[in-house]
Amino acid sequence: MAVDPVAFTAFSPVLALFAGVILVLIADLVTKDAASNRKFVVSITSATLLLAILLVAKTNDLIPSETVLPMFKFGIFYQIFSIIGLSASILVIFSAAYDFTVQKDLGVWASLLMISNAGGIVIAASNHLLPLYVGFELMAIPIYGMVAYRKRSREATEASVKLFLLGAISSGIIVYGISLVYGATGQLTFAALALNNSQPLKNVGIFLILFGTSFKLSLVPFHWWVSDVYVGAPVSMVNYLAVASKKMAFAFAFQMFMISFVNDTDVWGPVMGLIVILSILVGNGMAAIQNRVMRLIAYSSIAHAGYIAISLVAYAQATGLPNESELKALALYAAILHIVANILMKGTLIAGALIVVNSFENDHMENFRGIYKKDKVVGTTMVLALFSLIGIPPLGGFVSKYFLFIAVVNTNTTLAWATAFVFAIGSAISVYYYVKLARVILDEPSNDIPLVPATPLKALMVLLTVLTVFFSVIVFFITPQDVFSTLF
Amino acid sequence: MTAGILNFILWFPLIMALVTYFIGKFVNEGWSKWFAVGTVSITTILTLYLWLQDFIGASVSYGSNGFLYETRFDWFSSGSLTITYDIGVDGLSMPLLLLTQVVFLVSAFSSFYIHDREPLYYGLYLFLLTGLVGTFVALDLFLFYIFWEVVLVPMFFIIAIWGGVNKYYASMKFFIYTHLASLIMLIGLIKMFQNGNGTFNMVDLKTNIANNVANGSVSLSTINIIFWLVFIGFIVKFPQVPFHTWLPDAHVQAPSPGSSILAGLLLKMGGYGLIRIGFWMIADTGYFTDELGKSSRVFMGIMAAVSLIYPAFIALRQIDMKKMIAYSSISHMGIVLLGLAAFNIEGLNAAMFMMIAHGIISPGLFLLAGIIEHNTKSHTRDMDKVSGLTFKMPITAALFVFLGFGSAGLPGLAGFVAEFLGFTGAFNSDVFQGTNIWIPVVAVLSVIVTAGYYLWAMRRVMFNKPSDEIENASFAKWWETGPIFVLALVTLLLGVVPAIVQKVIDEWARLAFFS
Repeated sequence: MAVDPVAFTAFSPVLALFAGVILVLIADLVTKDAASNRKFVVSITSATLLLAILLVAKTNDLIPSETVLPMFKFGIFYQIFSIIGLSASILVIFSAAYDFTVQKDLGVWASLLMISNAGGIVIAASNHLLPLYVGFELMAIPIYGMVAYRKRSREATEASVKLFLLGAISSGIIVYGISLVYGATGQLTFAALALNNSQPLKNVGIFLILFGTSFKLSLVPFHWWVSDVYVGAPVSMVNYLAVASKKMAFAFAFQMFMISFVNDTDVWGPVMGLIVILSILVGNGMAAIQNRVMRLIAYSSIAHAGYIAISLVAYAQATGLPNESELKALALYAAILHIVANILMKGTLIAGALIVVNSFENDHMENFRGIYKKDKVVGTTMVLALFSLIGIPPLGGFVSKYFLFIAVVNTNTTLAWATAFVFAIGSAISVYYYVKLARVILDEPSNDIPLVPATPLKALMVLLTVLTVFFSVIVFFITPQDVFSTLF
Repeated sequence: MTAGILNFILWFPLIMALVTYFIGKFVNEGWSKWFAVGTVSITTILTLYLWLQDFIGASVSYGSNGFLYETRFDWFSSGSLTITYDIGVDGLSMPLLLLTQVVFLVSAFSSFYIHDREPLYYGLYLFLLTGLVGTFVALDLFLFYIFWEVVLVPMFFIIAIWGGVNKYYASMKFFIYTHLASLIMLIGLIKMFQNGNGTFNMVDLKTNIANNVANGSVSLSTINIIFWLVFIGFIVKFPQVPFHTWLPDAHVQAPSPGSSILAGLLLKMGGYGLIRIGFWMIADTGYFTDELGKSSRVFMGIMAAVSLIYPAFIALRQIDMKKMIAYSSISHMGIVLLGLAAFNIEGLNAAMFMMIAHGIISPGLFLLAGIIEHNTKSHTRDMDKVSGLTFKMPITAALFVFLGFGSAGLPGLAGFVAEFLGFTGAFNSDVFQGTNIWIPVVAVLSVIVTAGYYLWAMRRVMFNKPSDEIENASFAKWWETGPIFVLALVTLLLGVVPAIVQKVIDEWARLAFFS
């Protein structure tokens, strides 16, 4: 069978990733010495991911011919989310090299990471529910293995089993939802689904898909696995979950709800609003009472998932308004901004946590006391990341929150107002625990155990912090007019 | 060129914050304080220069859209969403800008007793200055919000690092309270943006909203919602009963320069925001003369009356000197709200003049409380334990008495002018007639309580027999009392010739609200 050049170019990032997987596994076998093994694995993986980014960027001029690839669409949405996922993964693999729990067997871990990324790319490229679901599973299945990397740890096993069971159930729910939607409409392409009128069976399907997706996005009340998994998994795995894979899951959610069920906003919109409100309140409320940093990060990431999902609420509420398309573009734009900002600040925070966990072998908040005194760079960058997470201007977290506020308040409905107020209250609660952690970091050290040196990791943290600090400048210089007009 | 000077005043402290920090950190720790003093001196001189150039004279010649020294360009623009970088000053912000510089200069000298982590302290101090100046000069809601929020961070650290025993609790409370209020205000700002044709620029927004109301596309009840959202945001910073509980904690726990900036300037941010965004931006819609606006004003009047009298009674029973001054601050800011609620020319004059007068007097009092604290044996400000200061620290005692009278509203000093104008405005106001007359009456009665707690404090602390606590007290150092002496002189000057500031304010208020 002749290879179609268009299809080949379109899938070149995925092919590159699989080639990278094979290369990494071979390199892992060939190199015996631990240090050079790590070096090889990290350089091959990051080179592959970089190559994939370049290839994704190159699809710019690729016009998808419906006859060759009817199930895919390689537009700006695909590019943005693929690049976000891939660059976040570079960040993850880079910090994983310094994670004592995964660095022993980094080759396998890195190959799983790349497979998962290929799934992410497929999600972003889909224009049809089947590849969307396949991509989603491709992204999710390697994660079960990656979580269980601390083989002898009970916590890790518990986390992995929990994640596997819940993940399998939620996938089942999503598939069931998709099958109901198909049964009701006989359609699976986004365009056809968008045109289809709402009917009871389809609505049930949409609800099931919404609940399944909420599992993956760790939104309340489907969030029970998050804190256990974050505590049990290796820190770099948490990094991957919070920074990269969840962002791809958001691409899945946006594909599902913003693009395919776009005319059913009155069905999923209110439920999504309720889920968002609960996520923000529960996430922030629970984070405030944690004394293990990983649990704190887990609950705060539930809250932040809620913040990003506000864009879905804004999107749903914009339906039928006079300037609908503009408001919808703004909602998606705000979500992308918050996703990027969240990668930057969560990445910094988790890299700092990794250094501490490496030094103390656990993530209790007491171990974070006096980091600033022990290491100025780690302390400063972490504190800035925390302030960015609160949303203090002019840091990145502020800019994206501001746009989320604009997106949701602009729709001017009761639900939008409720969401905005909950958003405000949630942010105010978050001040408490982020500042508590910041204060612990800035406090006098309670012990004199030194931090494990990790200069490249610190360089990474500095880079991310610089991007966080100048986020507003960067955002305001890419002309949003272009992004707006091309988003849809 | 003058626009360049304003930009310089805004951004120079931020650059110098970094320089000061690194010089202090890597070259010589003792230099940082001189860098800070030097920076603030430069910006103060430049602000004074601007003031002398354009704000002294028959009338201020504002630019085409009512501002001076304006710098404006589009920052983020996409069809329905425009954010601009726009700074400039007018008769409302210029006096506050000058006040900011003076209070910062004075507090910089009074910070000399701080020896712990000096570079960080002065770095944060200059950072705070940029935040405050930015709040007063920003003419774009986005920019305004950035500066408004930025102020929280250095202030939080100043309280949390150099504060008193309960500093963690106080700083956290301050942060959470004001952050929540800011976010509610933010919702109000976005609501404003939404009804003002997609721009965040204040000047454009003001015109757009007025036009939209005039042509009926925006109703006054929407304006009512906007007003209350921003009102809640600002009133917490202001603060007025019942949103005031963060203030006594923050003021008492902060180091005295921090308290003086809190009282002198952070409260004024709330007042400025309320006048600029709550009043100035929506006054053209006719909201405040509408029935809806009138009922809002009555409510504000009630809040002001309660805030005038209730904290005054609390102040009466305080034994901590700083806490007493903190409660008196809440009480005095009630005049600002009362003047705004009256919404006539006397009232608006009073509101703005009170901010200046209180901004001069209360930092002085806080700094004096700090001096007394440092000179007592057990470092206490307890008014039951400290007495007879006139014998040991006559200059400090004299200044305390002077500024205390100023705060209590003695004729001839700055506080009196504002109170007098405020009460006149309240009694003349269209909303405080008939049964509502009780509001200004209660407000006036609060003056008795104010005089009561100040006189009582003076008698206990200054004039009794010297207590053991002040055995070792001696004359305060020049850098402690010198700056306060300047504040006292300004208090006297503003009391005798209020016109130097009041003329600008009056002209602006007539232009903005009654033209």
